Amino acid sequence: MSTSDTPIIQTVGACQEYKLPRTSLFGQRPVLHALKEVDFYAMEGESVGIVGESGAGKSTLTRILVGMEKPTAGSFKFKDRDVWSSDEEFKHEFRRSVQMVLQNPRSSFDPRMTIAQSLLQPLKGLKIGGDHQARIHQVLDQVGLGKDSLKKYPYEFSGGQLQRVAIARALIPDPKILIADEPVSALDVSIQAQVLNLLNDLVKDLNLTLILITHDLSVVSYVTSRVAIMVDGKIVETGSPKSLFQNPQSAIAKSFVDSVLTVGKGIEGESLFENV
Amino acid sequence: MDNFALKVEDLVVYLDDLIAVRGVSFVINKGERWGLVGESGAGKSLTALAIMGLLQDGWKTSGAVLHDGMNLLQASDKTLSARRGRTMSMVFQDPTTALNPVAKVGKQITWILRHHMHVTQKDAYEQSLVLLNKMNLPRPESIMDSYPHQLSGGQRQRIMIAMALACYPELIIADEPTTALDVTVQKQVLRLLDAAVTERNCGLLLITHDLPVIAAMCENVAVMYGGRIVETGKISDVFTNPRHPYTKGLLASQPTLDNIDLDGGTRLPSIRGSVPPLYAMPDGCAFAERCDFATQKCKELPELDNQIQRVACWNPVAEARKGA
Repeated sequence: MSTSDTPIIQTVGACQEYKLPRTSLFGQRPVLHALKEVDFYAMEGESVGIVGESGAGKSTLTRILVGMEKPTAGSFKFKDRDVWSSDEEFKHEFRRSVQMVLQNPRSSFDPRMTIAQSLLQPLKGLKIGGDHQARIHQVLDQVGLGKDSLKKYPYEFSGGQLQRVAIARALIPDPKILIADEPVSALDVSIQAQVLNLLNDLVKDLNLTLILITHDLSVVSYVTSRVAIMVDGKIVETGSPKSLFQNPQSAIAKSFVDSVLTVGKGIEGESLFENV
Repeated sequence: MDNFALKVEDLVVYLDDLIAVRGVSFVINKGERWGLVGESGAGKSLTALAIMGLLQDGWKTSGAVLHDGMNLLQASDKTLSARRGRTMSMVFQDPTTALNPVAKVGKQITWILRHHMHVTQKDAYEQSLVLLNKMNLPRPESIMDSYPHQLSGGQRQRIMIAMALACYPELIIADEPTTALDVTVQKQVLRLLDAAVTERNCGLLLITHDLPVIAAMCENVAVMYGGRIVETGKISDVFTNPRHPYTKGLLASQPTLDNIDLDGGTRLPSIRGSVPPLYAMPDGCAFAERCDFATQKCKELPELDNQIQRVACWNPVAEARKGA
């Protein structure tokens, strides 16, 4: 597959404002500027990470990228076409091409549906033709689950397995872009590596564009090749994980890099096990 | 006067025929910091709740938890509540749910002081201010006058720590104290907890699944799996030279900035399978079915051996040669 020079998904000067509840009887409702002129892009087949503290605007940016919210100013483009002013046919292609994996797989499945029913939903909702059963078997195979999972209910799975099912559900409409919002932070430590490896493999095999939202810098540098740091509704620094770690430019990037704890380092970054 | 802040002997926590903690023993001396590592279902939080006497109805315990000259497992509710917050206190994971939402922060701190230390309201207020000052909270007076929802997560967790420290306890149990916080705040909170424990010379039991946090904060560590301690010893031994295959796998599967190539292309080693559920815990070693070194022998239950770095495994990882 050839990659063109134009990004597959892009926001240009995107702003998002939310009106807050009235604080007094008179005067305007206060406005929260959740995003302030954000320029974000991802090329085809690229893995991009978005890092930031809670309240930095990561989730707002994600909601714009999946088309759940229209930015109050600026534009949002998919394949170099503005999504919100395009025709229905293009919107349908967009919806099919951008899929999402959420943080907690336990709360992202309908507990009353079997996995087979859950996996059918995107195919039905997006009115995708073809052999549905064959497609479901194919994606289950891609995430390393057997056909016996289909009859089970979500509660019968462990967290790691259910996150695999969530990834399978995202892959079913054959998306171009996978957006993963903290995909491993709700999982057990010994399972996290499995899921991260799976994401890495899928991105390579299917030539997916991956947008990974997380607060964990180690995870982001393991999976992605470019990281954007968000603070206060703005992207303050972008770069490869390597350049970011070795030479952070902004103060906030420095504080992020400093805050990463590794086994063998003390709180102040001193080396703990000197005799080794 | 006992030398230890807490001594746990063969603690078992069970609910009918579900056994969550299967015989856990450790001793925390005064001024010593212990880390308890494990994933969900390993029994680490239930161990903490059993020590504090905060288990929900239906959970039963056996064994002994010695603290302040008595066995807490046999103590009455009244004696327990006289100890909680006074000689032992707990910092919970989520400060949003652990603080009372309808009482101002100042009131909540002074309550503890007045209840346990029998000081006047004025003294309690002043001591609370001193505590908040120590926690590096700006404008403590206005924070005393705020409700928990008006504060940020980091501020709330600092208040939790201040409350835990208020009555100079001998033992602090911190259950995932930084998991709900932003990474940039995590370090500040750990630093405060570290300074507080050093200053008060109290015992610390830090429970988390976050290995780097344990490594930075504690001297000793116990790794739990399937309700048992599978490896325990000095941090510097266990984390540099893990003897249990589970500890080794856990350490290797963490993406850290040291073990990954920042240009991409590395692959994390992962532990296959997942933790067996409580109702299907095998009789032998709980880790056997995920272990690469498992043999027939692993169907029998391994006990902790008697070396300095104790491990419960039939086929412990061969020690890496020092200096090799």
